[in-house]
Amino acid sequence: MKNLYELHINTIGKIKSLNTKNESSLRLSEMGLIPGSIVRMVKRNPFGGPVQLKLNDYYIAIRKEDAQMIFVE
Amino acid sequence: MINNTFSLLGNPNCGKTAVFNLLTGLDQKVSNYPGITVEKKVSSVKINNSIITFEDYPGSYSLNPQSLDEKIVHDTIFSWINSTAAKPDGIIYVADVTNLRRNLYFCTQLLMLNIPIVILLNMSDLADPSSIVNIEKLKKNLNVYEIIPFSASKSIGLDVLNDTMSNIILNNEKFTSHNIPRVSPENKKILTPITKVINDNFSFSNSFVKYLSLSILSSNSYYKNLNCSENVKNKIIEAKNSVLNNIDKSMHSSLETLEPDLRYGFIDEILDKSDYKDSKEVESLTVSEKIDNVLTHAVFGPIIYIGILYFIFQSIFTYASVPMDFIDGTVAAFGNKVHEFMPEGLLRDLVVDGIIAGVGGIVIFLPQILLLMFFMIILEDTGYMTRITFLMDKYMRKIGLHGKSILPIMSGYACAIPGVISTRTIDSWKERLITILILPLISCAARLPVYVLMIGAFIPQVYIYDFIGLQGLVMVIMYFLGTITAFILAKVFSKVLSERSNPTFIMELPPYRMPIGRSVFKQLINRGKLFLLDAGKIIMAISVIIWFLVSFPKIDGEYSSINESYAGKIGQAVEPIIRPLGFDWKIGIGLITSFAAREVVVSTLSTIYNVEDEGNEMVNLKEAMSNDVDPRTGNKVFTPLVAISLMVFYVYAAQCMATFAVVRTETNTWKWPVFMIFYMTALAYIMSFIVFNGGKMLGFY
Repeated sequence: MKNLYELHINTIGKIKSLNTKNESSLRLSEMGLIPGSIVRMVKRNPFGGPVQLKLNDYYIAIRKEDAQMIFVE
Repeated sequence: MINNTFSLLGNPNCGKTAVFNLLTGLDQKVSNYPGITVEKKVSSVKINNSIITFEDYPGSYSLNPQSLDEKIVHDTIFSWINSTAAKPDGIIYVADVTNLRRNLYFCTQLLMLNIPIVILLNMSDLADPSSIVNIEKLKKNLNVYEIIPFSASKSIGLDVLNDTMSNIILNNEKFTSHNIPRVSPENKKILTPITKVINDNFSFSNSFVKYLSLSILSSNSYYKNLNCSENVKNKIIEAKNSVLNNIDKSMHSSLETLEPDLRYGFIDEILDKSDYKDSKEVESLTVSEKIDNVLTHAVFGPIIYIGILYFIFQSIFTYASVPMDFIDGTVAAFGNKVHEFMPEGLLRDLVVDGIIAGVGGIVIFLPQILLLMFFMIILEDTGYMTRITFLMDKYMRKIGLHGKSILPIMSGYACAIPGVISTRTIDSWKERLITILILPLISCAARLPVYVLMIGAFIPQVYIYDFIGLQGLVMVIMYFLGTITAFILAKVFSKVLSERSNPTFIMELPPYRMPIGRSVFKQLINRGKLFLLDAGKIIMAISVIIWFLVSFPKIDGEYSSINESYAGKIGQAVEPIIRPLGFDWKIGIGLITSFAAREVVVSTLSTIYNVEDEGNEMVNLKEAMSNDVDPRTGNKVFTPLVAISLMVFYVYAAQCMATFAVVRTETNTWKWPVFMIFYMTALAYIMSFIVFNGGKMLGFY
């Protein structure tokens, strides 16, 4: 099992679990990042900046720290 | 005729504002001005024989608020639940049809409200809704009042919407409840302790109590949003803990997604039954993504961003000068005409030297403000602003800010007030506060008149290496000075302050879209109105007061000389304090009047020199200033060094009281605005002192 941040560019992963702290789990899942969702890694910003993902029909950006706490298969 | 209310709700980026602007036309009263607690836009229109009031609320992803904007929506919806009178007649839920599944999430939370819901499938010009979902089936499965394919940019669906609203008004009592997500019996049992506390302390409908219990269980902080005593809040926490104790620890993380799981399960079931075709796979490359490959490219992205910024500021200085010269000429001609036609006397002096000179000094900046606002609206409406946020997040974090601080900071170059308000989208309190604290250091459009006047009058137009104009360079330095100080202080504040911080950044990157001309135009008109009417009122009043203070007391029926006037007395009283910065008492009066708004210093100086000048024509302020000689020393009052010292003072000084009033409402305490006034005044005095005395030592005086 690897985390979302490690997903190669333009590859697809299926969300297994969200282990983020604070309130981000709830908001991420409200945005559709729930276990079972399919996401594609679109872009990683340089110097550890946020990543861009494609989820359902739309694009979403989240920080590296959050992406590392989301596990995919 | 009875007044009926419809509320517009929906996700951010669903095109809600464009729908509101289409529904309400140009003639509207927009109340999105600072100082109003509830940030909503209201406008009344006559449709099919009834007056309908539309209320536009900030976009929200969920009823569970993560930002202040969403909290406003949350609190409004609770006020509807608590009082039937506050309820709107209907909700117009705007959903982006190209992203239907996610857009329905917030809608499922509104289904519990027992208010008729009309769903607009917006962006129908980009994708045919009937090819995505069977609209009739979707309507039946959700049991909402109506679902209408809509396009705000192409005005599709407007007639159907108008008829639907008329129907709702006529059949008010025939409301049938919507289909809502069902909580499973096991989960109901788990939730029991929380449900009991809610039922004991609130009078909500059954389905709503279930929703609340879910939210409380899913979120660590949701209960804080409830309007109840600390005692009840403690009971809620107790109940939540007792629920958690009954469940195995390994399951706790899945509890956080309990509500989203339930709602998406419901949405997927409904969409399945409504022949939903999830046409776009995650693999597919949209046009927006292709554009993003260039615009948010690791190397080209920042270069393009800087290029766009350069283009915007270059255009503002280049294109604004034509209408500005025109306004300048018109105001002067108008003043002279009025002078000719009015009988001699106090009233004429008041009108020409007081009001026309004062207000004219301000209207002239309208073109620049409108141009800057225009570019800001375009950047936002196309979707590029969110890309800048994405691109800059890492760098903004380095200096203690948030990616979303970029928009307020860029607005800050126009005016700090909309900037402070737009910090509401920053979900982390600490980063939001720091953004507010440093915002007034960003040189706003009101400083521009001061820079333009001082540079035009005292900085010679010479060229360095034949192509860098000295005047332009000084201007750039002033902007740079404010911005760089703001960033340094942001870093300092982030180290010193111990406010609560929420280190997340979750941002939708909406597809690039063509801005709708009508919507852009309307936002501009509103901006212009606010500037002319609200700021204009203050400026007009101050101009009259200044005119009075400079013209009186009269000695033997004649105007006294300006140093004997009230204003002269006040200026001379503060002069010892500002003398070390190189300022005389006339500038002192300007500094005092700048508390109303910075640009007032220009109209103040304009009024002072107009009154002082005995002649009938309106004086040229630049000439009058450069010819002014201090009678005590025989030296010129203004030298290039004084002008630079004054500009540096304006870069830092806390002057616009309206900004601090807004900071007071946004931070809910006087602590922060008072702190800002202190640190900014100290900074202004110290920096000006260094510039003036350093310059003198180097022999520039």
